[in-house]
Amino acid sequence: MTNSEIDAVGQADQEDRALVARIARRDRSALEQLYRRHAHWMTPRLESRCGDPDLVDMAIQDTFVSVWKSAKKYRGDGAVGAWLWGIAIRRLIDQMRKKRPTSVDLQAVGGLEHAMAFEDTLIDNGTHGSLGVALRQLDPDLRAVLIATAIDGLTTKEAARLLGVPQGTVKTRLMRARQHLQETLA
Amino acid sequence: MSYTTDPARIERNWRAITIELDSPRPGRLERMLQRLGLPTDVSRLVVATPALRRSWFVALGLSMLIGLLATDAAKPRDDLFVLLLIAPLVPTLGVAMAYGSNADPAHEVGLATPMSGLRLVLTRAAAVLGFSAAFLALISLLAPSAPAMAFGWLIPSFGLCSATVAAMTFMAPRRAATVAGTLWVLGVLIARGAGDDPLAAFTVVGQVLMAVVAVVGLVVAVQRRDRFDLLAVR
Repeated sequence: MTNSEIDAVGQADQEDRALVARIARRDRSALEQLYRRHAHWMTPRLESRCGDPDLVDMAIQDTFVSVWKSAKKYRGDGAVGAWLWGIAIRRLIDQMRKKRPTSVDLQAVGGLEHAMAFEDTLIDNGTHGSLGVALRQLDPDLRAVLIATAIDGLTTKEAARLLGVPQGTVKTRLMRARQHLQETLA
Repeated sequence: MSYTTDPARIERNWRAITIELDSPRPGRLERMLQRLGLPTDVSRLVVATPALRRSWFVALGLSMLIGLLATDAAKPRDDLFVLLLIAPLVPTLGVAMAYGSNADPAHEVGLATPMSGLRLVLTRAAAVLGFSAAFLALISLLAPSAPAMAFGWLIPSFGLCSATVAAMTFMAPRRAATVAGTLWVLGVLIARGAGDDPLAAFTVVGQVLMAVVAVVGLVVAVQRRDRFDLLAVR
């Protein structure tokens, strides 16, 4: 990223923080603004974690309802976007716990493929340099675990729920993913 | 990197969020019941039970407490007698006040729903009984002499409530409670007059008798459950 890009991100986050502060003071229009600034990227990213668009919609709704209720709890120790994502991914897991996601035909849902590929494009873009190359070579199962824990910041327990595999499997895969990365990056 | 979400979907979700934020939040009691695992319809039904209004409980609690404190602590079995005599009347009155056109503004509306009247009566009776029992238990702990006997009202409460529900298939809820309550008071007084022990009605025989009344009352109510779905002009 160039310096001006970093400045732009910082600027956007400053605006987000101001909005969160206004939400904490019960300003509904601030909530709407925050929603409109973030829903468009959160929705496809959640969809890359869960194939059921209905569950994703409910997770998005729950996320902003709890933002409204708990804006005071935002401590400001990270970007607002990251805070939102942390809430959203956990709301998604809550939704998935209530209802096991139905499998969706990927060919039938055109837009979804695009969303699924998001993390891959990020990796392909070379943003992460040799790490990106190493991630690309990773087995998809291992990569999913790594993304859930390292990028989404979930615990192994939460990742297990999200991916629908036992917690032990998540731990083993995580260990294997780390070994792979170490070997490739060495 | 481009993220796109269908603008219509963004709008739809925002509308859902505003609806959620604008919808009334269930009260503290209702949320507590739901957390205990009660389905939303039952918890709403329980919370909407007329007899469970806070004022009702405060009034009853205070009067019972004062009655208890005013009794002579030198004769502990006597104040226990007052507690045991009155306590079963609390849920009984509550049950009568939880059903019927006199007590429930939504009674007629309720009759028109496919839910059976018996289920409504029993749900609310259980709610009233549960709350009353918890509340009477607290008062019993405060009784000057609090042996196990202080909880002797529990089975009679079940019996009396059950008898009231059964009687409600024959007469208006208030009258049903009055009849059941009067019979109870008479019975206890007679038992007291017959022997030396003021608590004669609460010994094993009395308890078993009230347990039998509870079961019989329930059977009668279930047998005659159609009566709960009638709009009686009373």
